[in-house]
Amino acid sequence: MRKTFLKKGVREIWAHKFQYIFLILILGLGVAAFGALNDMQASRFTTFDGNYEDCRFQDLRIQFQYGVIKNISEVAELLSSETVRDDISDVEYRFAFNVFINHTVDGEAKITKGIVMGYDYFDESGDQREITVNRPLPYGDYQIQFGSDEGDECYIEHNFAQAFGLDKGSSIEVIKGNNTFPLSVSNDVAIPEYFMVLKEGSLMPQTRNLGVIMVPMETAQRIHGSDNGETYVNDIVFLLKDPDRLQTFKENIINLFQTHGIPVKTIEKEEDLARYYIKDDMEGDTQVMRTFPVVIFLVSGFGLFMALRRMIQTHRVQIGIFKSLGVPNRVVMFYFASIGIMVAILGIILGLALSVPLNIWFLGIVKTYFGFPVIYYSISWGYYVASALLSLGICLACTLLPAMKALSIRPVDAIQQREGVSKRKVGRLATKVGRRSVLPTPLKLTIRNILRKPSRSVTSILGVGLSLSLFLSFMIITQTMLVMVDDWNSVNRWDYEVEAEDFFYVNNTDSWKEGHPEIVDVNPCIFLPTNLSFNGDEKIALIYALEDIDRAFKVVLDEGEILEGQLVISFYHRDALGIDVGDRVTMSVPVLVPGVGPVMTPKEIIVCGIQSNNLGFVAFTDIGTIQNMTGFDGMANIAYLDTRSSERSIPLENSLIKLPGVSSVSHYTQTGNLIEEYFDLFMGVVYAISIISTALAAAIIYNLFMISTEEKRRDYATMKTLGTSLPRIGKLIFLEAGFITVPGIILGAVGGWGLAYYMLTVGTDFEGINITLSWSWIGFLVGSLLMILTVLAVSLITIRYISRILIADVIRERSY
Amino acid sequence: MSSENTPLIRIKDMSKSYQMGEVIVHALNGVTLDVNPNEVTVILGPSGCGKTTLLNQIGGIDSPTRGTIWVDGREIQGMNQKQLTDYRQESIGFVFQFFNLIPNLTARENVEFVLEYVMDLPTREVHKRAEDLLEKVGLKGREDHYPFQLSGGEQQRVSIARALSKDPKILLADEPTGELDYTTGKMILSLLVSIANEGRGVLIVTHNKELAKIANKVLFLKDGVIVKEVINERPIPVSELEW
Repeated sequence: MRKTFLKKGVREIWAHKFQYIFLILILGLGVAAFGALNDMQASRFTTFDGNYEDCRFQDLRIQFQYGVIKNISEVAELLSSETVRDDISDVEYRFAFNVFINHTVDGEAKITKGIVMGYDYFDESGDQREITVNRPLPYGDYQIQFGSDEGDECYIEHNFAQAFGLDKGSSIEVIKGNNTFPLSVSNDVAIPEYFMVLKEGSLMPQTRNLGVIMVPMETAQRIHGSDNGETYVNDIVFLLKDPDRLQTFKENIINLFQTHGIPVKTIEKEEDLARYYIKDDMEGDTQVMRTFPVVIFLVSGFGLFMALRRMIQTHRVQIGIFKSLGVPNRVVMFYFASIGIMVAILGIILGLALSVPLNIWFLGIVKTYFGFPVIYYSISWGYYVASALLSLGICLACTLLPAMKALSIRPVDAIQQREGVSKRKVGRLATKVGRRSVLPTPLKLTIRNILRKPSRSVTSILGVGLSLSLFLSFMIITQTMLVMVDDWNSVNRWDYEVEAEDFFYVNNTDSWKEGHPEIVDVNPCIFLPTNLSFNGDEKIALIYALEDIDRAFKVVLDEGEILEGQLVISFYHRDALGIDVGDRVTMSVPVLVPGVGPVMTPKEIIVCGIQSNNLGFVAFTDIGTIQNMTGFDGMANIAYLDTRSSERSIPLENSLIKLPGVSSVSHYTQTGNLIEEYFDLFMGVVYAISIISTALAAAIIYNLFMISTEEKRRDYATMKTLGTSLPRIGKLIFLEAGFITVPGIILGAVGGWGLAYYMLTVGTDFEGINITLSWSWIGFLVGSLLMILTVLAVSLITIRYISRILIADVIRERSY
Repeated sequence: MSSENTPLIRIKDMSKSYQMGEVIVHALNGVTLDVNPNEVTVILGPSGCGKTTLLNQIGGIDSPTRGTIWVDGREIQGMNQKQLTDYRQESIGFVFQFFNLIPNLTARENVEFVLEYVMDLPTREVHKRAEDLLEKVGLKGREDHYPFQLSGGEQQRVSIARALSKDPKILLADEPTGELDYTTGKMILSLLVSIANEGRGVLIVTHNKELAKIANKVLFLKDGVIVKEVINERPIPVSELEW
């Protein structure tokens, strides 16, 4: 008997194949999106690990300070010292120094700060050797090869090359001092220290402000002007035999170099800026990237539940017939369970199949916005198994629950339902006599259809609402991010931000104005990344100490005021550390100690205000206060410029970048781009999910409307027999669609807001950012239009379906 | 144009075949018949003999494989969907075995639906005619009840009122008493006979042989073929009918 019922289950699916196909599509999309989004996040981690492994990333890097360079043989001899030699597995000597790069942007000459990295690419016999630590990686199938040790070929860091359209065969000029060196770009390359181009203290990537050029060692010597037959180095990276001995090795090597008069800065593997940033970014995204697929899967699951449950509910007559024929309950349950299992299996298979293109799509996004040359694919089997089991559970629940309910009623009641006269079906309305209504009959009929079968109508309204919610929530997230970017940008009142490599005397900026008549004003600033502590808790703070805060930034104060000698903190610090205006907080600042240099020292400062700009960790004070605290009297490390036109001027940038000590010059329009870059991957994923949710929405709506039609086909057939024309029946369908769509859209708007709120605030924690949701009218209009178009399309399909109904069969309902 | 002597329905050598899998089923084979005004015509036959198929051909909800059907002077095969809709709207009234009332409309509204939405009559006329029709079928006082609040007989009467709302010349009734008890069935038959007496043609298909006694003409259908035609000169009154 079970075999017969299994066959019947297959036939049931085949008989309603389009509805089941869309049902399977809903499930498939949920499984695929759930798996693929988790795959993407897992792939990011695998790619991160894989690329750092491929390049044999350092355990420790040492950089010679204050411009010290040393002969490679001298350094090699030092490293053969017994205190360090046994710990070293591999070592790579490099020669790195600052230059200017002359390249073109839209046909105009542009000078950008750059770094030349000389690598020891040739061994003593002149053969090209393999770099053993922090190995640059090609961005494609080519090999990194140089024709000779002192040619004019170079490889250029990938992010910079992308930002300025430099590729194979491009010509650039490297400016060092008064000398200019023409170089030909062999290709772009991924340099491990610049997988993400960052500068210390910066929260944003600096892709356009720093060009890294990779050349063989002798070419580097020549550019540096040290080509006197010696080979100088100043940057060494190590791989250790036992990474657990890192701290001992680090102490030993610092002692070793300092003993020999070489000041060094050490960077451990996890201290590498790019690595730290990317890892932090990935980990920060983990929460939100886990929330997205869960939300999609829940919507898909709910859509599946509503549709499948309703489809099974329409089988009550069948259940009544089975019961009256004496079919045992367990066999009836087996029949419905088999339908549920078949839907689940087909949905899961489709989900797995769809996950392949989705994965390719998501990995394309990762490849575009994630600066690694090789993407390592990772499959989160656990998530697929979990989503498959959940899907199976949902399918079984929504086939067995209505079946159980139907089994509990008398067969006669179930069978009677075919005539639409079951009193049980109409419940409490059974004795309520209708009142004369002045409404036109079609309108009356539509309203009654909705009111008399509330569960059916509510499910359809929920379907539209849920679908719109999903789409709209991602559009609201997008809009929120865009508004935040705008907010950040609108805070800036300056035209140019000039960052220095180190502290410079503010007096020097007088000459800037003299040399550049377009500069109206120079507002010096000390930028200080530090920690702020209060009552034993500590949080990161980026302090901007300005000569004139108001001239550079439009600070909106939530509480308090800007006072000299005091600190304006952000709402983030207030909330995270519980600081109030008037509290005394401690911050760590570099205090100049004569003969030693800057030493980080805790200093107390009173909080005078709390800014509500969405500036995360930013705190403001006046430059004099920090100068007094630190001993950097009369000095600054950033200057904000006002210019006459406020327009971007590349000649001015080219001139400013060449000023002594200047490391970057950014026009205010560029910072917006940098922030957008920061959100690129996130936004890319959000856009992709919006498209998936649209498909999901269409599938849910299609199914629910088709079920409604199926439920009312007898009424439609009767109308046709009575001579109602198809356009008139169509009018009824459109009318009912309108009654479903309008509340659905209202529900979707509320739901979309709620979902976005959940995803951006409750479900995730963007530390330091106050998320204020921004309503997306475009999202709402596009989403609503999509819903309306989907409903219209489904209504047209419904009308076509009705036009093909075999009236005679439907009226008599002779077969099932 | 039809007159008292012209048949309202004239079918000549009509056949209907279905392809069911690999088998061709001949549901109707060479059917020829006339249905006259003022008459009740009963088509009698066992289940599966093609009664409903025949009714569907006449009602324009299915088309014959061969042969011709004239209804009220119009040849209906070859009509397009719109013409068929107009035909069903103007010429035919259907009474179904399972009543097929729209469950979310009251008795009155079921009738008004046709008058307003199919016939496009003005509102005032819609209300008046619906009321008259329901009174005519004996449902005064039950107008504002929903179908599920009405008995089977009452539902069938609403179905008849709805069919009459279009003032059709022909009423097609498919097992009109099939779902009803004896007494209610008889009431419905009386109604159908009185409708025929108004000058309409009433065609009833049934398997109940007793119904033949009230008909002016009885056609026996077997395996899609009319095997016998009996003209009943003296149909008995419905009140004397027993089954």
